[in-house]
Amino acid sequence: MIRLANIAALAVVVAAGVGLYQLKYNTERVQEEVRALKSQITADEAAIKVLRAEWTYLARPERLETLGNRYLALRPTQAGQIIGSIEEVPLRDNPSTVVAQADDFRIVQPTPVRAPALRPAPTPAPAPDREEAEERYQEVRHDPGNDLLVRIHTTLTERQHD
Amino acid sequence: MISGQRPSPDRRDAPPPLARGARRFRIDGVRKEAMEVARNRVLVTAAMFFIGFVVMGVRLLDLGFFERVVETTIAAQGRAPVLTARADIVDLNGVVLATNLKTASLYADPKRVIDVDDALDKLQVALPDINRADIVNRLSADSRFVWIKRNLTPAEKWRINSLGIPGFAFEDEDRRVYPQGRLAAHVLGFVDIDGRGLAGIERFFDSRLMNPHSLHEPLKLALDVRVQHILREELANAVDAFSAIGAAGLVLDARTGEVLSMVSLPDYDPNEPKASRKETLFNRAVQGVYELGSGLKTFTVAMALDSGHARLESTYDATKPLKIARFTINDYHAKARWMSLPEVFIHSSNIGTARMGMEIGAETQRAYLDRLGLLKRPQIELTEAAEPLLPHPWREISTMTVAFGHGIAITPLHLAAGMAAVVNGGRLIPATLLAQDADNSTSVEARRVLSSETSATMRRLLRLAVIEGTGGKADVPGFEVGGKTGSAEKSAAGGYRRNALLSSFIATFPTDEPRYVVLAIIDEPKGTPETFGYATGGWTAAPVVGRVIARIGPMLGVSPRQDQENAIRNALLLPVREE
Repeated sequence: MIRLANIAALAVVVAAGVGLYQLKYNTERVQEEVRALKSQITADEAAIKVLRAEWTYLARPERLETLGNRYLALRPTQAGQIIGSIEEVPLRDNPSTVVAQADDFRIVQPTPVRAPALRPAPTPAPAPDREEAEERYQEVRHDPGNDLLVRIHTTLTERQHD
Repeated sequence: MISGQRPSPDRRDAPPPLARGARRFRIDGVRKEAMEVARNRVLVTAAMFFIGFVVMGVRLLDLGFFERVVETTIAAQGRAPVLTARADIVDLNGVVLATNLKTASLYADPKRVIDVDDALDKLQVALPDINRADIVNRLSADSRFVWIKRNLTPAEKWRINSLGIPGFAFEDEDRRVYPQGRLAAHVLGFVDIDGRGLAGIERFFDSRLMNPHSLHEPLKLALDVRVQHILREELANAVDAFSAIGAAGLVLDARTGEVLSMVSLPDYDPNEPKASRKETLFNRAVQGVYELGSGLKTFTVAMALDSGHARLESTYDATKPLKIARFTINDYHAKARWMSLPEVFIHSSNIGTARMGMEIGAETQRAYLDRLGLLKRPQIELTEAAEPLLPHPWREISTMTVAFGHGIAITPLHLAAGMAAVVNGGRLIPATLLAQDADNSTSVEARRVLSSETSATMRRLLRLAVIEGTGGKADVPGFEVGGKTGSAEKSAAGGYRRNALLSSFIATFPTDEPRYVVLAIIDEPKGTPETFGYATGGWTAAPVVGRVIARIGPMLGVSPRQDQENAIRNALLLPVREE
């Protein structure tokens, strides 16, 4: 009877020992994982900060204005284009209202005079800061990590040749 | 419960109830009795161990199955450590104005560079602007650490990494970066090499930005980079066009006091404050005090109406220059006749406003200026903000000159904040660079300085000054701009310089329900053929304000309206003579 108890106890001890070590190694592995994840988060946060700064730098109003003038037909909104209230919307049966076909609302391509840089391979005499922005733009463009920018640029270039 | 099983000690030591029986076995041997005692003791010990193990087992099960709390708190502590030593600064829309970045700097260990020429050939591909001879020279030094280039861009770092040159490595450095460059330089200020704020917001909120508990919380300013860009661009164009020496501009929310834009030209790049000339660090909008001239006539007219010293029908003798003591007060746009109060205002008559000032008297004038905040340091989150220069003593002649904006030097911010109070219904709201919560606009600390009737009249007068008077070039169809020009001769030793003007225009729009106050000041503009040689506020600063309003109006959601020119005229019923 006692012998049986002893054997059982021994078995429990061995099992507990094995279990404990298993648990310990498991915990260490998970801890390692947590550490890796933490450093990954840190690295990601750092990357997000850099990208946010980069994005802000690229989306400076100054630069967007230059790019907008070069590639878009859009111009700043004039007060006359904004309808303040629903009463100001002219009715269709008003004879002074011009009714246009829906497909007439295409983007007006800027005339070469207003946007000389629209020609392929534009080489305007750039202001120093624009040169710097352009250089930086090229840099980012050649960075394989920035394929989004490359895509945008390709779209814009294709548009240019249309 | 379990302790009940434990035999009490006295029960063991006392003669057992079976003593008689035991005595019977005594013959069998003393040993047997000893065995009995030992067995009892072992049983007791075993029982105690058993209880111990049961307690531990229960606790183990408890920990393993039920106490999940322990586990989750450990997981929750997994917040990544703080990256940088300074919080970000963002604008009203969350656009980054200042941030801290870990930048990589390239260094080399000369002992481990195998082939200097080959390494530099490769490096030149990634960094075309390096000075080759200099680096060769430095690499030959007897050292284990040589800087090659500090603060690389991520793209440069990526290119160098892809080359894999032995002996070259990166070191991370923490650096304050201003992605918008010069755009908001004077508002933001800059930091020193250790990241301590030396100017602007960086200095005023230094402890807030460095506070470890709020590092993740960016400081949100009221500034709007789009508005800032537009104001800066238009002012810079004006500085170029009129060969001026500088300019300053402000856009204020008339209802909350939020500064949407603050520009001072020339400016500097806060990323490289040391590379700029010292005078560019000067913030003209809050640091410079100027005799701003006619813009202050707005306050004189407002206080004359508010204190009851004048009514719209009051007339003033502007037939000839006003002589007092050794001074002569002239009109720039001289009409040489009696003028009604609205005429005095829209034609910017110095003589008329000087007479108005005399009627008001020094005491009342001072009281009103004090309430408008013009007699003390402007309230703003910038340590640079300057004290105004006041006449001392405040004589009769001071009262007259202050009435048309001379003999008192205030900052542009004083003028803009005072103007906001005049047009927003008469409440002075302290100007602030921090974004205010949209819903607590009622809790904004506001002091009534003028009656709302005076404010309403002033709005119409300002509108009239644009329709009929000197500010015509600031008008934008649909936005109902109202404003006042100012062209002050700059003072020099012993008098004023006729050809050195400080031309300004202070405006508000839309005048029926003012939302914004826009101020543009151009320092020493020179007339051009397009302006027929004029360099006054109406020709230089007013067009700037007009263009700024035309661009920011739609952006800020001000809905354009039909012009109510006739309505304003009728409401005023003014005797304004058509010229």
